[in-house]
Amino acid sequence: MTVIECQNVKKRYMGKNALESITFQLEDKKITGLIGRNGAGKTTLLKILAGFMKESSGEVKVFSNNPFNNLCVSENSILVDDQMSFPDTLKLTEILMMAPSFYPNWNAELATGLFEYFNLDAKQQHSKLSKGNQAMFNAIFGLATRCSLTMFDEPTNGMDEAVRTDFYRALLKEYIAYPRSILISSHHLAEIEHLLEDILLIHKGKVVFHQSLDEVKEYAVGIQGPTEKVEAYINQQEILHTKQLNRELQYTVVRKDSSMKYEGVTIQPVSASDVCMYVTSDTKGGIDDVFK
Amino acid sequence: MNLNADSTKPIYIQIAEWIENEIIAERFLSDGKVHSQYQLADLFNINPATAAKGLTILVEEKVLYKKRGLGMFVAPEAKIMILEKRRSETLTRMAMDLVLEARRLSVSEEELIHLIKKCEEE
Amino acid sequence: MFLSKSSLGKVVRAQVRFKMTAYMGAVLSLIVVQLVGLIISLNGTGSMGTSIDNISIQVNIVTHDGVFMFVAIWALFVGNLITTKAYRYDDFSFVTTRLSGNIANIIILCMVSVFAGVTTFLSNYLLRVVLLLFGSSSYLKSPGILENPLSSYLNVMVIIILILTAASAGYFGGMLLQKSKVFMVLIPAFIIAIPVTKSGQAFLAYVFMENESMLFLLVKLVSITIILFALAIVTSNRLEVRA
Repeated sequence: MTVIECQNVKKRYMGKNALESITFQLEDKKITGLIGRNGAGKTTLLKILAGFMKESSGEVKVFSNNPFNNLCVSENSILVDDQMSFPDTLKLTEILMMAPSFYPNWNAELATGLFEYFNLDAKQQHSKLSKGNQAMFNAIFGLATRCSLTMFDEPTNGMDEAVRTDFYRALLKEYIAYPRSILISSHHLAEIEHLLEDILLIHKGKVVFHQSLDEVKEYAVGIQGPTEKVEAYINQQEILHTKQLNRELQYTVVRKDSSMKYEGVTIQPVSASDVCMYVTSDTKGGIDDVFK
Repeated sequence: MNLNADSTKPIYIQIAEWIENEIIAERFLSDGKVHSQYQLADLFNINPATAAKGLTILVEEKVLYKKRGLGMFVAPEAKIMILEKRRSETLTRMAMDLVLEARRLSVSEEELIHLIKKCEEE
Repeated sequence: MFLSKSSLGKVVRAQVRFKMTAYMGAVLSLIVVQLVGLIISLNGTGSMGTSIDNISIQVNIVTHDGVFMFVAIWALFVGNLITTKAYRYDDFSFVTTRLSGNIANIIILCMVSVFAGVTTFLSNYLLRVVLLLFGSSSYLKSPGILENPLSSYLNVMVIIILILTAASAGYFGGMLLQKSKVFMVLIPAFIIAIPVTKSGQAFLAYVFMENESMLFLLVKLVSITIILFALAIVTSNRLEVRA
């Protein structure tokens, strides 16, 4: 079953095209990483999917409904981000007590368990929490709703290293216990890679690719060797990234072509996060180009 | 339990190899049940789909067999098959790498054989 | 995939319960407002004095109009307050649509207005007790519930509806402000225009003066309130959140 369907979605926002053209489908019960650089449109896309914003054109369907002002979508989805707000008149525990009347699948045991594990203060107000604790509380809230579509926008912003690891572990365990569709955005793929089944890479408001993680890892290869040999191999192919290591040695990343046989050069796999970085960069040499 | 995330080997291959190792070490016995994809996911902190892929490889190689609704089980000849495969594939490939590296370092054939013998004695 | 399906009614009920707890602060501020109004009212709104021979008579007219004015302004602010980002965003951390959030807000404003109206009406009696205990008057005369129950009930109703009308005006104005900052200028201009322009005066006269009975006034006020709330719902139906 399809959870999300986006067809040529555009969004004009603050006088700019935040989304140019987004088309993809999300299948049920997968953990998908929404990857892209800052300003790629990740947050705008998530807000449209959550029904917070309205698309300017194109078709958006979540559970076969347009999410804007749809009760079914609101009830079965949640977007966790650092703008989540709760009334100051409520203590954290009171917020958790309110939740089950909205979310029928609410897992109170999980919420209190995580709440205590992360040492959150029950009597505290949400807005008085530190950035890290606020992010943690929001994430706990999102996990405990057990919504069929659970979306996280940079959920670990502000969390320290140990807490991040714990959160990702909790996310995976909760997913195993109660599989649901999870869309998690990050500009730091390496950190969430182990959790993911699929990757949706967007750049400048467009989908670059939507593939399984294994496909992304096979997307490109790095060829390293004497410059003239490397260049002989790459003349036909699209260069994703290139770097002159010294006078004779060159390292170039190209799309993988398994029919190619390489000799006299070494072939290296390119990690998923490097693939995402190279295909979304405007220059082929990265920052080194500036210092040429 | 840790996998080598930086390894050039895909995670699902590493999962398959881990199960094979367990079978060789007889921690998974013939006709015994192996971990489900969810147990593996929990154990190695990976996506269940990745774990499932590792299991699927072994089912295709007939190292494991499926019982509907019960899970995955170790095939009776699994251990022999794995050892056979490793001998023919892995060992050959490693020997190949060894020979290539020796050539690059201009180690003669005799020296190489001597080296291998020395390793065996230790 | 199993999707849970709640009705609009169920979600609104949950939202009202949530808001009742969350907006307690705003309701409590009412008590402060009423006390201030009360203290100001103690001075009386009018007085006249005569003296016959050596006896001088001082008549003080004391009403709870002051309390009411304060409460009406308070209602205007509360209506406005709950349209602000902080309050609207809180809704979207839970299950909501713009419609359900609006309905829940309107129900809350109705409940608050009833509470404010009844307490304002009763402040009249508090005023009497205070005057009796601490005032220097020797004789107090005022209409009571027992003397004319029907008129008293109607009085309470009118007070409640007036407060609600103020709240709905605040609510609609607030939503306009959320929509565009242009209304920061337009709304004050509009408020000034009402008592100054001919048609504005005619409107005020139609609503407040030309009534054959209290019931007419009630019906007119209720209609205005409904129109204001409906406009607020239409205005806010495309507002974006966490934008």
